[in-house]
Amino acid sequence: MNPSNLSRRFFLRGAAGAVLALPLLESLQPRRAARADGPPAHRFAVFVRQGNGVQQATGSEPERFWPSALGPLTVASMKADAGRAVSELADFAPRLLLVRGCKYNFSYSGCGHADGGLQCLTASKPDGVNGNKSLATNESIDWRIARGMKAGGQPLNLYAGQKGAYLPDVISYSDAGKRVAAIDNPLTAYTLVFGKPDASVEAQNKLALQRASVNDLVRSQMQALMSSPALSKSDQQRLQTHFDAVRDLELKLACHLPASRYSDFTKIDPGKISDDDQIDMIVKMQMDIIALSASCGLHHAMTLQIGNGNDQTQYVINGVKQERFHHISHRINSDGDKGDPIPDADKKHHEIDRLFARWFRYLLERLDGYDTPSGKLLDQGVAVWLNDLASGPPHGSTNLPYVCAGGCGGALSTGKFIDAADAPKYQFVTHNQFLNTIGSAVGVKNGQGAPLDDFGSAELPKGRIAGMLA
Amino acid sequence: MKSSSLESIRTGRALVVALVGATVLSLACTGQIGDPQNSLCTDCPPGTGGPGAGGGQGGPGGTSNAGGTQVGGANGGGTSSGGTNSGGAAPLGVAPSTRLPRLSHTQWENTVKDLLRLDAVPGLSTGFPPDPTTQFDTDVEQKGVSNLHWAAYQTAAEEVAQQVAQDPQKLAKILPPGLPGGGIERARAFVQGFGRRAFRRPLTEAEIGGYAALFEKGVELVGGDPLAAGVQLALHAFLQSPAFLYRVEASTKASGDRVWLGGFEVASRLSYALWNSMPSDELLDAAEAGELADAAGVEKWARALLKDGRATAVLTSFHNQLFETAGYGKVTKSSSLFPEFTKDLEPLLKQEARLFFEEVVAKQQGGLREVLTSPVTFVNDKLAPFYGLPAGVGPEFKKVELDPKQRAGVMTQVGFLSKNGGLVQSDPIHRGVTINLKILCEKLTAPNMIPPLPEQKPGQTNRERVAAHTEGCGKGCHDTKINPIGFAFEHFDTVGAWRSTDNGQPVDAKASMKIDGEVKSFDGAPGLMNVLASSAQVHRCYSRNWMEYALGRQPGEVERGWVEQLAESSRSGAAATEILVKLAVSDVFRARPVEGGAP
Repeated sequence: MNPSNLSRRFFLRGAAGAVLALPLLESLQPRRAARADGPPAHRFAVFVRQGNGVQQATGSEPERFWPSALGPLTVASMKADAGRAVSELADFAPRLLLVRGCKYNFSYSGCGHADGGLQCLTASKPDGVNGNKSLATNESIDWRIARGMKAGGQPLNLYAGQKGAYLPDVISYSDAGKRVAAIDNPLTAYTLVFGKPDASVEAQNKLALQRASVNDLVRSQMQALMSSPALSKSDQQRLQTHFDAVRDLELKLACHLPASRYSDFTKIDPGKISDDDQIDMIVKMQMDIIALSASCGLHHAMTLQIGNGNDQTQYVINGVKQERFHHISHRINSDGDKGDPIPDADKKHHEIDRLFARWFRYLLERLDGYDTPSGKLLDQGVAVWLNDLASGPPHGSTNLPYVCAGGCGGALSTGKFIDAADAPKYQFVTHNQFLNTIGSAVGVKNGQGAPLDDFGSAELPKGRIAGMLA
Repeated sequence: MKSSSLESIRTGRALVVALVGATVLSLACTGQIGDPQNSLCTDCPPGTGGPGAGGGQGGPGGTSNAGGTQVGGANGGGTSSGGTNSGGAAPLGVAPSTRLPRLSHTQWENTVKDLLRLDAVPGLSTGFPPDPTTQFDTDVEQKGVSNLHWAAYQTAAEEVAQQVAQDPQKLAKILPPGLPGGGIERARAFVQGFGRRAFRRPLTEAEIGGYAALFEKGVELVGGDPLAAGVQLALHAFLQSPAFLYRVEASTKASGDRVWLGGFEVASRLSYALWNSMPSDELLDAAEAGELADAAGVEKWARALLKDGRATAVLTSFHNQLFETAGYGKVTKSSSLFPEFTKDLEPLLKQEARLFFEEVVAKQQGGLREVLTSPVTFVNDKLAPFYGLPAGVGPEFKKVELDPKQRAGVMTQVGFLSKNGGLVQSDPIHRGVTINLKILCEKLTAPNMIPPLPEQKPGQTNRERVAAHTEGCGKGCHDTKINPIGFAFEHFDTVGAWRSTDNGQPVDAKASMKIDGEVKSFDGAPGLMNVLASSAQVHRCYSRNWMEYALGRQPGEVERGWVEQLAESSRSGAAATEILVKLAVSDVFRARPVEGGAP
């Protein structure tokens, strides 16, 4: 299905019970519709970010993250690896693509978390030795995908957990130096993306007609303003982003979660959004929004940052609130390198990895619950669980953990665990090539019209990871 | 609780602390104390930092890990004095900036309230997407309109438009006087009158026509009373217009190397800098009459605006953000050692700061010297014990004068001291770093990793512990910039209570450091505050911050001369309001650079 089909009312019923009717009025077509030969409406990439690295083989610590062997992944093989964090995803084995052997290229901002956070989705060189004030020097892949899939397209950037003053939002950049603040309140996000569900169809149609008239007027004002030769390039871009936003909003009508689930959103206490005790609920609500948005074709790129830059959340494992995750990742009760040891910190880190794996599984189940004309929604796009560091100690940035699910309509090869590194010499691959592969699988092209292969810093080698491609 | 009893208890506590081991925070990659944007310059050797466990990271294939840790890379270190004049004639240029500063969420609230003549702000911006964090929320460079911002503006516009248009009393407040009885003439009259306030300038004929036509569609698209329907639909569009959401600066007429802003543009700059809201009708009239075409006119109106209560909110907001009072009361203290430092102090500490700024800067018309040195503060029965004041103050805040030999200014108040304090001990490093960054505008760059402080030994003061530790790591910065300032606060424990001993030893709060090229000595925080209050660098920093707040961007290198002028004025005792007046009449406020200089 492509955007040109969206003028017809159609219905989707997901496993979560969501009923979708898109859209209602012919007059509400986007003013600049996507190309008729453009990407399918349900092609998407979603990035779920964990911080502080994962507990993988490091120094004297045993391997507890990756499957025990490279090669094909089956439900049985993953269940046999019950001690590995990714075994939580066993039921999705045929649709998984696990990639090791990637690394970040840059490490000099003064803080590994700042380095990792800003490079994670940008493959960018930090803008200087500015510690936690360092910024990326190019846009992030979610923004690249969004605008690559649709002129003026923008991603959906969501958040769960403490924001913190040290490193709050770290992964998404709309442009060089332009860090995006993600939305941490699911009700706010829901309302902005889908609108309030309680209006009648008649009321929505009435409002839609009002909006159409208002938008026409506003657009004409914006075009007049954009024609001013006095505007700098930066201001032109600012207005273009604004202009594109005006055009994009109408398709959200009648796309909603079941009333009972929406009711949960309305009960959120805004004052407790960032409480550690709420994070499981917030993560799942944000994932509900992501899946619904993808199912409605509203966003082609989405991010969910869980925890602040050096995630200080005290996660609950088996009913017990643990030490701060950052401390656990250091294996000591400290943000530095000395402090009282945390007993079994490596195992606690592993349990937190498993918690993230279960959250990722929740997302996959939501995506798998929606049918599209081309099949299950999960298979139309790709969900990526990634980390802005590789490991706990020593917060390394090599062998980054990438867990993908969904084949992007057959573009990605799934059901396997691969090593992207250059085998004979064992040289890690710069992670821009992983991002290129994801971007190209979704359908993004480079400047020459070929599959995306040049994302990120110009200093990095171009290319994609062949083993990920179908 | 009397000061002496608190002190004696804490003296004993400190010993306990030393025995059980202090929890110490490093600054490189923490996030536990306040805002450790405070990055230190150190010469720590590689390998001293990093998490404790494990060795190098092995590659998946069992090969060595090339560049696998974060400890490598560039050595951090070094400082620059952001507030130091580099000598020579300071340029009096004008730096480029966006022509489309978008309203902040606070400005949106204030503007909608004033535009629609509401009794209170609508409170709808809580549903807006957050903007990126910046030093001041008035920043204009990072703010744009994403699709979700647009959705939020749209929804909010619809909600508030309906509330106003469908309420006869509220509707009456926004109708221009002498409105015709109906037809397109009524629509045009409403659009022309209301539109000038919404766009903060007169509408063009094309704009009037477009909005009037939309107004006339109200009956069909909204229904009901034609006037209410027309207004409602027009309000939808006004509140979503780029001319409303941005403070558009369209002037292009150059004179020399300046493009002088038009009167309405100056009016908007004035009202948003001094009120954080839209211009009043009177200010728009003045703009239309050409009264803002020269410095004298701008000065007259700046002084008038500063007499309004909205200016008090701006003065308070600036200082709140400069001193990061949003973080007051949020830093956890040991519940066993400081059971009286409870979570319910957070709003009280913020209120104390707000009342202090209102008193000192707005009511008493003080400036930076008073902010740094005034012994006045406001306490209630919960806060009084921290200052050693007797009980019986009551639940309401009362103005008090503290002992000027112990306390001077906002940075000797409990909110600041406890925010820049550790779990169990005072924190000279954070106190020193914060003042370097915020008050001196020093730029301290980040090291790679910083080892945490060792445990406090029996009989060792916190000062001795910090001095010994920084002797071996980061000495260059600590000895000259951070420690002298931090040590001056050693009479205050981590919750901001006065102490004369630490861990059984007398407190030593004497220090000296080079400021403005001369070595200055001081004993305790009041002495330090007097030194800072006389420092050219400090007033230069304060002036830079005011420019950043009022202009929504950092001053450019070509604008150093304006910073110097404001700093001289501030140093000679000018009130904060006087700084704002001088800023308002300066070229940097009233002009843009010629084309080609825009970013």
